[in-house]
Amino acid sequence: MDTVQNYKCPCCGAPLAFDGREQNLKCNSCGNEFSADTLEQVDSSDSKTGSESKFDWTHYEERHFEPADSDTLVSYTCSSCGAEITGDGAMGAAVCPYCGNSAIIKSQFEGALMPDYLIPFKLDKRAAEDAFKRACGNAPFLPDEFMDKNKIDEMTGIYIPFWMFDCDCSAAVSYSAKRLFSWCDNQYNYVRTDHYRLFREGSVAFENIPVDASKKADDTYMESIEPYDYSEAVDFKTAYLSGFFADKYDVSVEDSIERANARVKNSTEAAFMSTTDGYAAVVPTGSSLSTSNGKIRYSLLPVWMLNIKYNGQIYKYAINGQTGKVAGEYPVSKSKRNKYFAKVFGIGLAVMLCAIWVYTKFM
Amino acid sequence: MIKRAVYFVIILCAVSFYALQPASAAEWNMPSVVDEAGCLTYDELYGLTERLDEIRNTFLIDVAVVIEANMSGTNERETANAIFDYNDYGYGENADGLLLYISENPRRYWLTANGFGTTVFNEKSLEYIDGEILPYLSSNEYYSALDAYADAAEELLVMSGEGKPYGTSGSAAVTVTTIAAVILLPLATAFVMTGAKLKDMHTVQKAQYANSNIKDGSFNVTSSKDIFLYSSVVRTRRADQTNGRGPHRGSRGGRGGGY
Repeated sequence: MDTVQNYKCPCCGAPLAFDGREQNLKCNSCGNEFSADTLEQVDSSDSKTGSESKFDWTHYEERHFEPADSDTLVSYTCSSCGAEITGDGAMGAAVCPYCGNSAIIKSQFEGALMPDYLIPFKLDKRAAEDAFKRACGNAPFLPDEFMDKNKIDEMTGIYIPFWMFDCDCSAAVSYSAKRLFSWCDNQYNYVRTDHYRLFREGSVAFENIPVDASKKADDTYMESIEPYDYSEAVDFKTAYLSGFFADKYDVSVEDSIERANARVKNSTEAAFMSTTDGYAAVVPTGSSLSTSNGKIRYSLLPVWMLNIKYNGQIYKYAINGQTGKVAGEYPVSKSKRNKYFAKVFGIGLAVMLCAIWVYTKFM
Repeated sequence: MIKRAVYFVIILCAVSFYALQPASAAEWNMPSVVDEAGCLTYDELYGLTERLDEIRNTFLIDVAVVIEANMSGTNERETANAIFDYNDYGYGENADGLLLYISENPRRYWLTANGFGTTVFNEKSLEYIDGEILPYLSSNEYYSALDAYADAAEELLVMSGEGKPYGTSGSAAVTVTTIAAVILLPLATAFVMTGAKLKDMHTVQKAQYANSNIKDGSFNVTSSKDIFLYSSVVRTRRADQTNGRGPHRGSRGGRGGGY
């Protein structure tokens, strides 16, 4: 079936007709005229940006095992003291609560379950505690009694499973843009608006976009403690897990792909937007993205987790086990907040009164 | 001999008279009082002219009167503005001044202020002058009205010279505005700064982008087109061109009506 083409006005969307006298296409609705060449370029750009985006992740080693059942409790025997260690189906490593020795469940990391790499813990517990204390120092309205040493001691190091996405992303993006010029004469003020259609096409490559593969770990917290330095990633060995907790994935790749797609799309569009300088206003009108060379890998990343109960509420914190970046919600001391507010208001009031006094005295 | 002596004395008196006159502070394009309707006697015209000239030269701002028997324009405002503009009333680059236009037929009047005159003779001031002259105009007491006009103009110019133009400082609206600014600005500042500090208490946020995961040097733009479509021009009349015809300099205010 043949495709039918018509030309619409880029300004108002009304049909365009060729004006023999002007040798241009003219819009009878808004009166604007366009050359055939301009419309061909606009039409060509729109066809590229109007097609649907495609995210191809088919090229990855499929994991044949089903995601662990996190609701089922399983028990293991500590090889040091014989105590029973109980955990959910995703538990991969733990610390025996009785003798303190590490218990690594090898079957959770064998075969297709073996992570492609991990980033070892760079911060020990003390360093993580110091990082947390520094972060608390930067929280201006934190109650003084919040920092209880006993609570901080309960910090736990855990390897969180992540799906890591690599891809090359090709994009075609179009924008509407405006330039403004103003001038005046004796009688009138004038503003001239030049309207443009911008078109950008190109590619950008991504690597190691992490998507949390654990149901227990809050995705927002895990994203808040990024980025990691992947140059320090090493091939997986169970020895790295010793002394820490670890979980295997219980969120499938299929459930994680959408999150990776969203971040790829947003970053690609932002990268192309940065090439549209020199305009007063730039608004995206269409985009078409496609990914290729997609690769998905399975990794474990180090996180220190801490829960603090304060005034009947649990406050969760995640600390990047490599960089020390802290993410969490801090309780607000109302008295500190109000004192700060009053101080700023008082200083502002004093400044205003001084200014008025000087004005009335000397002007 | 006696004749020569008399002539000498006359000349001497004339020279002395002009020598003792205070130097004009400025040259004015138009006389301060123009009475085409004959509403004033010669003495009244002379006295009023002297009075307004003294005000002009003291304060370096034009204060003038024009009386027409029949209105030369379509309405009192446009006529007053046109007279002001086309006869180059006003002092200095911004044509600072105040003109009282009176028409006998129809019985209309208009006060037009220009340039710095809009600061001295602001809305409140014009209302005040209005209140002073209107009772006399309504009774056809033109000289009394113009005398009151001169008194009021001088009074307002003195107040302005002291740094307190009539209708600005001391008025209730200004006081309320000042108090509101003194309280609201620091309040707004305190809200904004406290809000910024509160943001530091919430460090958990979803990652919308993957900018740190872009491979170095991988961003490549293969096609970049900026296609010009069309231009549109919007023009708006300048605010200082909306009153009356013809060019004028500076800002403008005015008030008037029937009498």
